[in-house]
Amino acid sequence: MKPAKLSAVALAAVMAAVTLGACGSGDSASTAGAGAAECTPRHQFSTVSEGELTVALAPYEPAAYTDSSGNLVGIEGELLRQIAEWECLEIKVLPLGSYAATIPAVQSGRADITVGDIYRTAERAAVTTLTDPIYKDALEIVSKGGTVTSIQQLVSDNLRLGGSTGGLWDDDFQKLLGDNFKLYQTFQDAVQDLQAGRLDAVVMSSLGYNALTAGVSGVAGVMPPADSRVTASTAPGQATWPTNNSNPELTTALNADISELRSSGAITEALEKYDLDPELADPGEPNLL
Amino acid sequence: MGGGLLHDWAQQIGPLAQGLWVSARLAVVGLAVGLPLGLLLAIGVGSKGRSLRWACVGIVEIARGTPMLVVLQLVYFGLPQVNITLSSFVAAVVSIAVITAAYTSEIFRSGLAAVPHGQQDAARALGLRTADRLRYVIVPQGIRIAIPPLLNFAILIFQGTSLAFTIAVPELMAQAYGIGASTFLYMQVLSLAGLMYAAITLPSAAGVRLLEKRLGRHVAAAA
Repeated sequence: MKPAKLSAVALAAVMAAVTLGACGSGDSASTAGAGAAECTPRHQFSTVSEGELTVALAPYEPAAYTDSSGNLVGIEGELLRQIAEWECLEIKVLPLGSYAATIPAVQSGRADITVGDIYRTAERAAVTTLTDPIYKDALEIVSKGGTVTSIQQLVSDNLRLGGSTGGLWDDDFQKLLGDNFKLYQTFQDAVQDLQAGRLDAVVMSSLGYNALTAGVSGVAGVMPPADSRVTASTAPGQATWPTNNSNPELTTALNADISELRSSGAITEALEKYDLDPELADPGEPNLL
Repeated sequence: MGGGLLHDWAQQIGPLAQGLWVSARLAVVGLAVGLPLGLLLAIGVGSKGRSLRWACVGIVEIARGTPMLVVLQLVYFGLPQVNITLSSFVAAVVSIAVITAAYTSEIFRSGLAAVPHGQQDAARALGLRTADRLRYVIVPQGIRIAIPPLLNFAILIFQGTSLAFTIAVPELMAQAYGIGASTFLYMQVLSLAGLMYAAITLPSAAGVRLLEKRLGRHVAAAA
């Protein structure tokens, strides 16, 4: 009798706990619902995690990186914070360290978007959905004293050039310079080799020039004249946010928000906040390099 | 989807093969430099001379305790601070040689220690000097015992060359990441790179097992 009574009491306790828990969940959902009632998202779309915009991040200052508290900052960080506010979302940063991890994170549905001055190209558009351009960027050649001023000079003077994996210009410089073109894991490594004398110049995006050369003395950057042998020198790169192909609603929403950010001057402000040319806020018509 | 993957691989395999060749050269040269150093360290660790013994123990323990990634960074980016500037390939070879020497010294030491004591006694009884005992009796037998674990270590070093990407060596992983960055086809190209590593390591591992059997034949027969 006693064991049976104990079992009955235990069962009742478990059922009570489950019921109370369900009521609690209901209350959380209603709280969230009440919260949602105070904030009406401008667009309807799903995200990897409800109520959150999951951003896969490979830090690239000043485009997108985290501050000491882990908050997403940088030009794209500022813009995404505004978008998150409009769409009633919290930003959740997924720090993954490199584009080799952030792109698969978006493709596999672990993240909604990835950021960090990613250029629009036809190859990339074939495997992810790219938003409309956010701002434009250009190729910059950095050398000691700014003495390297053109792509032709790299060829004629047999100069050694370094870059970081993922640059739009990698293939063209590889074909043009052969073994004189070296790829590094990060731009910082390439700049370090410039200082050590292993390189004569480093090619990087103009966006990252200030951050990547801060504290490095004796170097200067030059935007070279257009050279048909390096496509990226003839047309500026357009920064974009890759999203998963199976979430077109998210891309549509982001495109609308990007348009509003541009017309309100928010993109210009974000660029100026990080000491960049406000002209970059006008990327021109969307193109795929 | 299968056709798409094969098409992607067909386009990627050329640059990856170039990277694989660099990885292979890196491993071979690094091992060629590191293995003799490992043998010397093993002999030094077993030396009766205290200073030599402790110096060799110190080198082995420090090198074994330092991850290869750290060694690569120190050799490539750290040495220029003292005016020693090595190219990426040479810096990677030096780093692999250091790690190889440290780890294989223990493999060699075990091999040398496994030579039956009777061999040492017989060599001493014949009046051979220490250097001659090592050269003609102990080391040849010890190396034969150490060959299978050394070959297994060589396979690990070959896989470890992927870390040389961090100091701009255009090896297999560097090529794979470069293609992935341009095309966003990271999974496809990294899968192909993995298969290319396996194409080297799997037959090598099978070869090591065969060699182990062959080298141990006389022991099995005696038993």
